[in-house]
Amino acid sequence: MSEKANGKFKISRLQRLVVEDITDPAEQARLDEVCKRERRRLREEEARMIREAEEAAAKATAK
Amino acid sequence: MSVAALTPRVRTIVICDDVTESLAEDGVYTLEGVRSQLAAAVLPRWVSLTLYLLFSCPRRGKYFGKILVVQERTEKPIRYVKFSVTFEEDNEVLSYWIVVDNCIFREAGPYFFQVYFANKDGDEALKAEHAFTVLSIEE
Repeated sequence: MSEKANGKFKISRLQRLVVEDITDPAEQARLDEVCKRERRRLREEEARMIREAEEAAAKATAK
Repeated sequence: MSVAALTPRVRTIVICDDVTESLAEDGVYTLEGVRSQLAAAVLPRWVSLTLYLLFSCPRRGKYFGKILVVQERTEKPIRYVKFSVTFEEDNEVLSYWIVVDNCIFREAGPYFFQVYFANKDGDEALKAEHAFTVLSIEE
């Protein structure tokens, strides 16, 4: 049985993670595009999940 | 495999004002001012917020991530920060608190705190996002 199946996850102690600013305009512009792409992907995924849930509900009602 | 499948999973995002360590019990922390909104009497509003994040990963290794604070109306980030985390073992769960300072909210409305992780080629996937609303309360 895997560790995951055994529930033997090792959970770390809470600690502070220090972040670094991204100030490079080129990197920011690249991330703007990544952000738009990922938001679009998320919206499509949500729409697909809603569509599948509605189809499943319609099938269940028809039975 | 997709970037999403090869990078850590974000299990929890909590936005709050501060994290304090318990003086009575070791390893216990208090999240103060947990919030999904901010009421601003004056805009733009400058604010420093704290994120509590729980990451898990089936594979050990060092991973590079980014946090973007995104205005929904424009779909443009107003804040960009990066970080790295190291999973020493497979199936490890890491808990962190992160201060995201210098968030400048110029308009009221919906925003998102997004967490991205990159694969070894630098391709990024959005792993989680948390909605956050800025309310304008005129004095």
